[in-house]
Amino acid sequence: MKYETVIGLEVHAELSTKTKIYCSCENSFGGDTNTRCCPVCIGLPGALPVLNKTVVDYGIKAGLSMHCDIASYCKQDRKNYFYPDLPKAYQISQFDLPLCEHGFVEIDTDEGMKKIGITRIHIEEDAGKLLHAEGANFSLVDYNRGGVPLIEIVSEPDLRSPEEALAFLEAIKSTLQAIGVSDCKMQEGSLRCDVNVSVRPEGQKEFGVRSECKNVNSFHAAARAIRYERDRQIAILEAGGTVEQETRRWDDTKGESFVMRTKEEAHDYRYFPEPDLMPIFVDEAWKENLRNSLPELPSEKKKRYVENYDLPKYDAGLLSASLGLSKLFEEAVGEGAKPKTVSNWLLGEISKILNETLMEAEDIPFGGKALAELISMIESGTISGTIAKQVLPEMFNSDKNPKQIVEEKGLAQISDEGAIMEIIHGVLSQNEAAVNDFKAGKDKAIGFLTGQVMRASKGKANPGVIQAKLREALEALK
Amino acid sequence: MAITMKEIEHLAKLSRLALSNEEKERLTGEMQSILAFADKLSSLETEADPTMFAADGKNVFRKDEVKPSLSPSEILQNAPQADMECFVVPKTVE
Amino acid sequence: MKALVSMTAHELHDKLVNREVSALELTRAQLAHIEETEAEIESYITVTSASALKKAEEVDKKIAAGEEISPLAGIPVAIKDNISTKGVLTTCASKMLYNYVPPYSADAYERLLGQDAVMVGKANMDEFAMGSSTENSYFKKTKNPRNTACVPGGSSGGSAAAVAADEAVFALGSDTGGSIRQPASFCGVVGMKPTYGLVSRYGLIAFASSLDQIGPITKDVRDCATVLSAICGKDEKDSTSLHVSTPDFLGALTGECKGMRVGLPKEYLSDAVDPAVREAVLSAAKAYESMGAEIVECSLPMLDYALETYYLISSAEASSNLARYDGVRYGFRAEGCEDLDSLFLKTRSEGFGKEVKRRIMLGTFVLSSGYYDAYYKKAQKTRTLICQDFARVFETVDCILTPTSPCTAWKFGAKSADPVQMYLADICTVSINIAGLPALSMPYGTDGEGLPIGVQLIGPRLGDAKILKAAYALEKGGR
Repeated sequence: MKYETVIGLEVHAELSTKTKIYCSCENSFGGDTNTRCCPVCIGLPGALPVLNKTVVDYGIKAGLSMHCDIASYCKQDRKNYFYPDLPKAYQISQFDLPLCEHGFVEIDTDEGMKKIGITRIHIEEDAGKLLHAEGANFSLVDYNRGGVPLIEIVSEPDLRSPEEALAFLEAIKSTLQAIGVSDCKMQEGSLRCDVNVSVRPEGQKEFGVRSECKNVNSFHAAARAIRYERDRQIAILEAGGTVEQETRRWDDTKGESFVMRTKEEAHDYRYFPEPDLMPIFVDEAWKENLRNSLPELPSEKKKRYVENYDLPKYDAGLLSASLGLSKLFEEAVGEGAKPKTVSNWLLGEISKILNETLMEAEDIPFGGKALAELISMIESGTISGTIAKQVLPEMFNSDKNPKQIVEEKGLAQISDEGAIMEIIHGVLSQNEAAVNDFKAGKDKAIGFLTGQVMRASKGKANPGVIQAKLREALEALK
Repeated sequence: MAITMKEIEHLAKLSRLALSNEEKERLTGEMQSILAFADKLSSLETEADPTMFAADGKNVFRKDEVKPSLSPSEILQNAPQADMECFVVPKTVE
Repeated sequence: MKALVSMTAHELHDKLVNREVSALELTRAQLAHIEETEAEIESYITVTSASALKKAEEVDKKIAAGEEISPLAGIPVAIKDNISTKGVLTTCASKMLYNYVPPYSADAYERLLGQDAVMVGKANMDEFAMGSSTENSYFKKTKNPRNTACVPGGSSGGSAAAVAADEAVFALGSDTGGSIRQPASFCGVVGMKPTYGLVSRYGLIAFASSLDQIGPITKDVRDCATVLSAICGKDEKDSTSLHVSTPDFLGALTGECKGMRVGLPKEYLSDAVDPAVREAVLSAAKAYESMGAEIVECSLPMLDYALETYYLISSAEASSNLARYDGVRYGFRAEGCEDLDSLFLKTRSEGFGKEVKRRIMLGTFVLSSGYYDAYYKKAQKTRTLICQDFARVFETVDCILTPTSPCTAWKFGAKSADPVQMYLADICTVSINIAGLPALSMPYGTDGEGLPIGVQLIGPRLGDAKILKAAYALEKGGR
């Protein structure tokens, strides 16, 4: 039987406000344990929360960018459960009246653009972190992350494949980054998601029984967890069994998920309105102000790149999805570089370095001007493309511009015909066999000899000049 | 309404209270009489909106400005057990 | 001559300003009196002699330098042990916090420090403020100074007893359902619960967040107005703190009440109220009439549902507020906890007393799935009706006169066996917290056994000055 996979996602994104959601401790990543804590965020008796207005602003911005209705009235609620990383033994969240509802984001699929519904977006606080020392029989608790503001974005069960889920996550990430409310750094855990998966025989209208998978900490893990869960559920159905509604925990190293709790063990969170906080009223003026402050969204940017720069849709999609890459792109193009060439560099060599070094595009240490300079040096013949690929890593590692790097390392291309002819003569005298092949009419030998000349020049000889001069020298020998 | 021993056990679990059998029995009786007394509310028919907040305020916000945190020693000064500038708890199952 | 320690804050302020006595002499006299009295009354969990003497010296320096001192400068005060005092043990009278020393102070306490008041100790109370007799303290049983066989009331029993026994000139208490007013009434002193939000709750260890309020316990109404002026005001750290300019509480104390309309609700004078208490309230009403106020008979029918509403809402909030006591960050941790579950279970089971566990269980029940609508939400709706009840009556009256408690102080153990009997004793006070109103209890006569009776004046929201005015008039000319 053929099955259809139905996927819904709950994405948690840490907001990049200066302070935590309910206290004035700094909101940042890393540093020594328990250094960004106060009576409020470690839940000392008697301490009280006061809501950071920027959190509400950011939540509304996220909602607007995902076409949500913004609640004119909402409140905060307590979600009660015990865990050592949750200092008050309740998380302040939003239950029945979230800040944003009924939105959507668009993703590119094989069948064209598809709207994925956003059920709701609400604001809440993050928990602290448990640290596990190797071999120890205890765990350590660090509350620096406790009280860091989060938005939880809940999608409708509109996704049908791991690929769609990935596209959705990419769209969420690029949108949140573009509007400046979250840096979405996966390595720092500022974007996390829970994955809800069910399967149903193709053509069936009713949804199957779903499971919820937690502890999914990367996009890659999300896709794997979905595939695993899809296959697991299909296997159960194929064997004549029934899928249980349960919460599972994804183990990315093992590539498997495990039951955390069954439906019967489901938590009773005993939500009730947080009496320590006042309700939130959002009027039209507030909303409009934020709407007007929104920058161009990735979907709009993509359209513009295709229309204004004649970029292929694929390039435009990748560039516009990344705040860092699109910034470099526009800067470089602004310096006069050819859009498609810039795109090739960004999506080729530069993305390769980012992947290898696990660096985010936003952290690239040079600007579009330097990239444009590098490209212009290739086009003017100062360096070859091969040399440019050696210059690029230097640009990542130092604050020098490409010209400086080329000068200091003596990488400038040799275009002087006399100098190149000298190298050619040297190569020809050492490769008699190849020369004889050429004489015998085997044109292929030119390719080999070109390579030898390039090698002898340490890659610096201008390939165009080599081509012209090599043929000239060989013809002279005939 | 009647409250059963089983419900008392469920509530104790939710509240993270370990109760002796004697306590459970006593609490079953006491909760029973407290709830009998509270059941009076269910006889009251009302369409009133629930009061969720004790004060009339709305939009009480704080500016997004960093203020000094407490020092780790102040944060940890009351910890029943601390090590490496962290609170120590029995190993959590991962 | 009246002993120093038995004087009011305003009397002592005059003596300090006129240099008839130094702050250090006063504090030493106070500490000596505590030393004498404490064995019998047991008002305090902690006595802070050293810091008190130090503070008194600072005040004396200011006086010597000719600086103008605040009305509470150098005046000994007792602070209820659920109000956070930086560097000073704050236990909530619970084993759970037997060793907890907060690294920060409550806003109300900070304000008193700013006024140079001298804290002499942390007062005993019912554990986590749950109780009406202070018998639920983990540490000790405070006696009623008027009759040591009787309870001092609760939960601020230590604060009220300290003031009544001259172990402090005034005290701060907290009031969730009558916890300031009822012990004030039992001990024959003045106690006031201000309008919800007038005094910051920051640093007050929460029992029921939407009902809790800090307030003064004093020897007379003038001191009550002075202390309230000192502790009230907008606090950016408490989202429920009201943004209002501080009324002139002392200016309201004219001694007159002519033309005031005083409501007398019949539901508060039912047969459930002791005859002596009823008599006292009626005679206070007569006194008001004789001073030119108008007595308006009125009705607050929702009183019938007040206790149920109160116990459901307060327990629900308490079950959540007290969840943080898990043995991880502060306070008591049970021995020999091998895993997380046993850490939570053993710590909470050994750390909390009977009454606290009972309320946590009740609160967990009313919030749990399947019961929320029938109990918690219903209570929230009834809360609306109770608020409307008061609003309607306050359209025609300035304040409402009732008993503070249906009875006077009872003997130790008299109501401990049955929680519902204990809860019923709060009938006159809880609806005021539900509606967030200000109310004050002041002594007005005694019963046949010589135990003090308290009458309660209830005001509309932010009508704190009104009830102080009415109370002051009754105190001056009401006999």
